[in-house]
Amino acid sequence: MTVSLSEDSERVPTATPTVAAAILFIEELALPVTLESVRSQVYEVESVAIIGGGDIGRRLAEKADVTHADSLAIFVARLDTSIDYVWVIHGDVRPRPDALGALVAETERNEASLVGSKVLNAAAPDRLESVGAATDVFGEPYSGLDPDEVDLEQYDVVRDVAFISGVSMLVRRDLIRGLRGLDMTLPPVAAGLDLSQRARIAGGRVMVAPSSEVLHLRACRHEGDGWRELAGRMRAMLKAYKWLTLLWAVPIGWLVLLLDAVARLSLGRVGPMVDMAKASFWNLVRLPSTLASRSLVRAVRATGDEELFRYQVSGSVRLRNLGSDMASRFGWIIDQEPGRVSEEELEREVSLSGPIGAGVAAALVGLATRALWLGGAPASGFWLPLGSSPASVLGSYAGGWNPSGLGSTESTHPVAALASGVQWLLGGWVGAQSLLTLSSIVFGVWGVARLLTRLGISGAARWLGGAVFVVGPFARVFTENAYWPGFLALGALPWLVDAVLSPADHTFRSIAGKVGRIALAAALAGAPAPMAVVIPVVAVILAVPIMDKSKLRPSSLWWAVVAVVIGADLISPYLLGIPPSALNVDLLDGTSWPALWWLGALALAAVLSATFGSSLEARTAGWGGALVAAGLLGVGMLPGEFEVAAMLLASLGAALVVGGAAHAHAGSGMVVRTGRGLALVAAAVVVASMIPAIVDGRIGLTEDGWSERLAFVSELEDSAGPERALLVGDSLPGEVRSGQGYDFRLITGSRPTLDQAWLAGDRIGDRALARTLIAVDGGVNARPGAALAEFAIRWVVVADDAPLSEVLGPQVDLAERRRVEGWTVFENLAFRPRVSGDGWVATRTAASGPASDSVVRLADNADPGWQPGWTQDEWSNALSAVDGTITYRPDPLRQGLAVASAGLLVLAAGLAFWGRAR
Amino acid sequence: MIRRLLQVLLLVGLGVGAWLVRPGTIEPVRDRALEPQPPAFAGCFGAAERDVAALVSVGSIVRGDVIAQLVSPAGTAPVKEAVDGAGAALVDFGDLGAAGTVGVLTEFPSADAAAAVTMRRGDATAATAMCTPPLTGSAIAIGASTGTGESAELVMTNPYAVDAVVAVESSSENGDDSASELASVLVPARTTVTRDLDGLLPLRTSLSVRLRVERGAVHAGILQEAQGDVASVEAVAPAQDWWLPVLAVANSGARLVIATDSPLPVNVVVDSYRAGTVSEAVFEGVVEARSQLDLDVGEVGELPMGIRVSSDGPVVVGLVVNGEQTRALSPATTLSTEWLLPGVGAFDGARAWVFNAGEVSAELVLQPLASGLAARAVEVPARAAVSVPMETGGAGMLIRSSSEVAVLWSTRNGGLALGKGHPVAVLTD
Repeated sequence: MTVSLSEDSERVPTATPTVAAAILFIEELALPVTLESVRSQVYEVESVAIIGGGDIGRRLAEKADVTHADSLAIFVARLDTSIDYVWVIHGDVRPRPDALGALVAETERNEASLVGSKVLNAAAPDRLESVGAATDVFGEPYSGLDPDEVDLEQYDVVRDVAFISGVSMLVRRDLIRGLRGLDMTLPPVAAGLDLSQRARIAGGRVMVAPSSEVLHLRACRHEGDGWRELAGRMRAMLKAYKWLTLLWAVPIGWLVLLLDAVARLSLGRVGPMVDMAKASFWNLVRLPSTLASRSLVRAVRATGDEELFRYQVSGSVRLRNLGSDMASRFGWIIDQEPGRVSEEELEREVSLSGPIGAGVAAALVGLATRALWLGGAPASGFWLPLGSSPASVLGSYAGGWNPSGLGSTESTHPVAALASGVQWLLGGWVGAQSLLTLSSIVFGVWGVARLLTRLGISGAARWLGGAVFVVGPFARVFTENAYWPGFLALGALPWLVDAVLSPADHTFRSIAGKVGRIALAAALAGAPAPMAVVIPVVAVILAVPIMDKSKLRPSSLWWAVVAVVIGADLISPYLLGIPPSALNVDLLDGTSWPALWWLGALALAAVLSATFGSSLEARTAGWGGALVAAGLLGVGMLPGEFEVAAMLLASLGAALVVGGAAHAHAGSGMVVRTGRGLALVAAAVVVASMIPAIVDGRIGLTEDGWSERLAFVSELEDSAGPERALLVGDSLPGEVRSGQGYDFRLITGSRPTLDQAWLAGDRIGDRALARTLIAVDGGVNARPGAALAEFAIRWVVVADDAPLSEVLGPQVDLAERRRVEGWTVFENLAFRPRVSGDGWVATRTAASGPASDSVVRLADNADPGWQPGWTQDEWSNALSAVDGTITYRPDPLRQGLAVASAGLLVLAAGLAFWGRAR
Repeated sequence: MIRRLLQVLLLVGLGVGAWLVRPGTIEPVRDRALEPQPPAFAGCFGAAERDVAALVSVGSIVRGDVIAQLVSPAGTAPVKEAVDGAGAALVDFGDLGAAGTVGVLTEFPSADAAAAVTMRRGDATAATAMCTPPLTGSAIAIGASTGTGESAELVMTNPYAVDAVVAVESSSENGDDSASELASVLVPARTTVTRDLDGLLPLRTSLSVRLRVERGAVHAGILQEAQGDVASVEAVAPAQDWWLPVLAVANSGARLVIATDSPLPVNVVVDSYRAGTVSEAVFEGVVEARSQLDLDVGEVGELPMGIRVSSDGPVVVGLVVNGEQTRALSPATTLSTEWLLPGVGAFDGARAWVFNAGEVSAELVLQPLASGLAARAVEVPARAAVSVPMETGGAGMLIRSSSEVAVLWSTRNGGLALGKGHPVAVLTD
């Protein structure tokens, strides 16, 4: 035992230890109960004092004829040396009559310095609140108790613990005096932890005595969490640990906090992030005081940090809790609506099938998409990388010049604007597109699970439905056609339908939240697939004859219409000048159509579930089947963006069919049981369709071709701005134009980018290029390069099997540079840059060079929006070089709409967050 | 129960509807691929040496600029000549900076034009060959020989920006007779490649060279020195119907060579036309696969006559005139009503060989491609081959006929030069 604790540390043990009770003021009403319970202890106390509480505490002390002290330290300092122990007890506690006696007995018997009671819930005395606790190295308490765990005396063992609850503890008077009492800047739990740690490194034993039972009214429970406790734990750690320990514990602890805060932020909880910031700032401000306290601890230190480590759990309690919360969240998503879920369903929800189903779905989806994460996304079809200039893409969306092809005034596709917006927000990060893809997968699975839960489907079935939604054959139509926007829309669609179906009470906040959710989901689904905003209307109409009123409210149709209106508003710059190709060109090739056996299994699952399933299963699978059928009707009858939306609808329907069919439970009667069993088998067959995707790991996404073909172009590209390449053949990136027996298109720069995927309608220059290619194709002229130079084409990439390639042998000004897997790259030796003036450099939407009185030619489609001094030069632009720069004047209407859309989107996000279910 | 039944019926109904309108495979709607059009450019080759005068003669129906450029990796400057009022343009090899065996690419104002290279060494030898469209498939050059004192050079010129690869095989009196060194010849862009056939395949009396262009495009042919004369012949694509007039050349004999690159034997039939009569199937024979047939014209009939060779497989037919101080080669040709004979004007005493296979006389209008020379009319009797003298000067002659004829031309300038005309408008059934 150390001698430095106090001047009377070598006291002579008395036959009957004397105890002074220090009741910490918590609440005025509860204090008299505590006071009476203390006075009626079998083991009598020498004196009683009320600590804190200001005037109220002082008045209560006078009324009860006990002493009062403003702080525990003051009280302890005043105590007579004849006092052996101080019983520190919360003022909202009712100790059992033998509680103090048990504490004294165990303290004496074990020569302990600090002993705590077993704390029970006063409202339910058989429920445990605390029997001592461990911490992790960062001071995070770990009690090991389940919430509301019943006290079956399972923990009734006197033992050393990391810290005891500050609710009731007996501490040697000399020790608490030497430690300068409780740290009064800390809230109760953190103060208990702090005192326990300081007692232990001073050489004392910290124990719990379960035979000492106190009933806690929990008036102080609101102080048990929050940033003050977090700040207190940080301060306790800073005071107790040696520098060497702090060197690693502080940064790792802070990172753990950050990870936890970010993860919870993704679940919509801002609190942990705010708590972390406040706690860090609080400690920063109090660092001098902490260092001063640390020097006091150093004076009494008798052991190293390893004595603290002995009673700590390994790892991070916070991360463990986070994992548990996430699993809970994924396994039981819809729990925000009290009364909506029956007790029976709740029992089912908390079963393990949810988490297991989520795990299986995550594994399936992860395996099916592994090549995307390991090898990167390809540049193919409409699955193209983002450009390097997100700001200019956003400008093209907002009424600026769209340089795709030979340029146009039509807005670039909203998905390019969305992706570029995200890229811009992430500081131009190249991984933005992968992040969006990953988000689409995660939110697609999650959204379907959420929607199915709303319909009443529980357990693993929801997750299997989610997996089928994002990697099933309908979703693979998007990947096999390399149509990234469709795949991206999968992430938002179920959330849009869910938001439309979700209930809203009549408070402004609730309605605003619902509007925000609908708007946000409509924007995120509508940007990649503009016609997807119509899906809720179709889905609700088809649900009317199928769903009952508990799942489908009459207002749902109106909310669906709201989704269409808001969604259309948010992509209005695009819809204002939607290119004809968006509405009349087949974007999805029928060769990727799901196999007949799969469609048969899906139909069987839907029909059998609708016929033999419980009402819940019948409704869900029936609705899903109707969505599939309607989607397929749409795919068969509608082109362009409508076709994409129809395929999305079919995919959602397939997910619902699987969710409903896989949810089947054994029914009564042989026929029903057989029907449900067959439906389950059919659903299993549908799920098994993911096997090919799992095997190839690319969910059917085509191989990358253009990165390698055009790598050479990027190597040779000079600094005069991005140059144009003419691509000729099949399987070209993005939209194409039809030549005489081949497809062709232009790209600008060394690779096809997402914003260039869509081509505007034929303009004067596009028609001139088509005529030129016909002439080149005829093989009459030996100098096709000179003809193509008019269009600022420097590179010509031709498939060897394209008819045009035959005439590119006998010609004199297209030099062959590379042959890659059936494609040949030519360099145009007669190349002329997009802006003709000497020293002029062009960007996507502007050009600059030496100012002069001359005229420069811009080889883009003629448009008077280019300035200054615009005149038409055949199909191109002639502009004055007088300013040394030429720019395009954006359309103010579309620019204004784009800005308003962005504002609406932010507002929607804010409303969705503010009005979210709690 | 009824509600559920209705739900199932709805589901089935929608499903059936979806099945009925399921999409098919997207077949891109494409316009018909363009038929190959005659190019407005042609390539040829020639020997440009100090004592050889080589000339590119261009005849053109359309006025405009003619651009001629030497095939050279260094990229020499092209020479631009305007087509004059008579439809002629001439480019001297010397102006192109040519030296040795070289290729020349000539670009015309339109596809209705033709060019030929003529060579003459003093008064002793002469040769001519047409400039041809680019070869991108199979072609055969016939009639070479590599006997003692003879030299034969295979010339492949690639004036284009893309490297070419050519597989070269040959046949001789020994049948399929190829040199392994020629199995795959790279002809780099803007380069002329020559191979000495007399070194690779010596002592052959009749050699046909088959070319298969595997990549890119070339112009090819054979330069021959034999009997103290120079001859050149361009490689042409095989066909199944050939026509040619054959006239008597003093102190010389003529042979008909029929070569094929077919992997199967080809049956051939030779008809002769003379003095208003047709002798059908005067010769019937088989050309073995990837081989050739050598036929003395005397066995077919008496000169002058017109010959038609038809076959059931692709062949190339050529005429070899061999005699004292005489060696001339020319592929056979086709029928047309309009002919350009570039190069004719480069020689004195040139004459056209005109074969009228029709049942009535053909009225010909001969328009010299030279300023100041008037057109004149000539009648060619039915089913006969005749000699028509040509005027000297300019680029050559334009012949318009009232019916289809086949035209070659020749000149005796010490040695004999023999070439075929260029059919401007080919009439087909």
